[in-house]
Amino acid sequence: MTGVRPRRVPLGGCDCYLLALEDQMLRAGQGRHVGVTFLETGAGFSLQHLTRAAEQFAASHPLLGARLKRGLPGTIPRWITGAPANIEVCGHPENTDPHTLAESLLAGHWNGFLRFDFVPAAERTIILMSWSHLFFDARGVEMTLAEIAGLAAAPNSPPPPLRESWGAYAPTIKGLTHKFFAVRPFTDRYYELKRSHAAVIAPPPATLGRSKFRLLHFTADETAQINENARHTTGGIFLMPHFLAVVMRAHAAVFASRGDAPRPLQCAISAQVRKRGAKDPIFQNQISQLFFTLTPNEMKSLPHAALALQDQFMTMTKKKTDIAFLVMANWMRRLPAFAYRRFIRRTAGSHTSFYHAHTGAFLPNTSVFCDAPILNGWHIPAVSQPPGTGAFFSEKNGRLTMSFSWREGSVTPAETDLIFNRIRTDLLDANDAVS
Amino acid sequence: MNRPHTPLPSDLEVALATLIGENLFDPAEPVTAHTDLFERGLDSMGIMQLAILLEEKWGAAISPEDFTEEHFKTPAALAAFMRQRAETPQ
Repeated sequence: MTGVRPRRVPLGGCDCYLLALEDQMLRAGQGRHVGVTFLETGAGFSLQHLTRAAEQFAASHPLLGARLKRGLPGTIPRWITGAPANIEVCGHPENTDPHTLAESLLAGHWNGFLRFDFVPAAERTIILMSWSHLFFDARGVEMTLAEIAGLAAAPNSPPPPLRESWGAYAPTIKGLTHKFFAVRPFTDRYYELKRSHAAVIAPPPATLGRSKFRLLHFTADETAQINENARHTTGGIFLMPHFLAVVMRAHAAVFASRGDAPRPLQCAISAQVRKRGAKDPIFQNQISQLFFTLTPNEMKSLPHAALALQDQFMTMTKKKTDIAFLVMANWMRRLPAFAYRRFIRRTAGSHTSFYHAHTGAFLPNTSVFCDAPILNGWHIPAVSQPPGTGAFFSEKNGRLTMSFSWREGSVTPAETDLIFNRIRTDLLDANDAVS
Repeated sequence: MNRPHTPLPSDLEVALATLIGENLFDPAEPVTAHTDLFERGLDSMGIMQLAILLEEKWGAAISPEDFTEEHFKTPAALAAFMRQRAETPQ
């Protein structure tokens, strides 16, 4: 890398949103906005191949070694590339509890933007890849794992060339008037949802706690049943509204158990901007957002809730709200940090009752990682408070996993049990789910 | 689905494969008339975007009950469905 000219890479619209969110989390003592991805592998894991592949990956992607430069107010923050990153690969004793290890990694007290930890065993090794949300979205994380798996599978091949796998997509709209009209679907929706005063689990100033998580695994038979229920409930082929409705109803059950008056719930869902099957770009958040809401009445029946969300989905797609968000987010990149944080403070508790994503098939075309077969895998992002909770789904080898992530103190153990029971019941008995 | 406003081309399968390939999938792997779109990763957002494309290009508005796996599985299946609706008197 010596002699390679530093590159200046502007942050994308969503990157800047997440940078402001991370600023807010750091100021509130919640740590960096990071995630941990679990890989459960069978026998044969090769540490040597992982170490070499991670080194090659770092050497070919100079952005991993970049530093953030915010610049003067009114300018766009940038990454400045430098020397290759040192991706730490850290082994732990066989008796280490992977859950406790993951929770300590979610606190974000580690250097850099990517690291590996593993807990080896004769028949089953757990590999944890920790990553910064400033650099990666979930698809980017899986593309990283796939590339490292490919490098590890060919240990004698020459080092890969330098790659500039970045560049956040932004719609090209020239002229202030055109931009103004392009962002209207987003601003209209934004103010519409803001007026509805949605409920959040842990509004400020709630107790700030450590990042915690709990997993819900489903068998292959259960997963097939769940997907069939989702198809049936939404009358066709849309899975997203069904899963979002399930998570909304679970949160509504928590409010009901607290004796709170019924209120609407809201959630922003990420929409991928990368084309399906694309191998680039790996880095930066290549996502837009769509904003959903349900009234207490709509949440009483799961089929009703799912269809209401499907209608909103169709309306927002027709209005191109996802494009409007991208235009707006790109515009907002020039906001000074304090103004952006103010926007985050206003929206995080009023616009998002909880976080949710279903990232679909986990690492779909990769079955072996560093010589070991991949048995299962899932993502666990740390969540900010407010809103304090998040439910994330993915599927590997035909088995669904939900990771429920929360801030200690935002939900009680009994409320976590309630959320898990409600989600499990709704997913498996969708057509009878009325409450 | 309503009847399309614009006449459908004779090679609708190919036109759909091109439209879908250019707008929804990575161009490195072309979409053909018989590509299984769900195996290639067509998701909820993609189906919705495809429905908008059909409406913009041919005026074919898809009704909620027509969003089925059978109709959207391949460009050829979608073309057959669109032709059937185009021939149905309203």
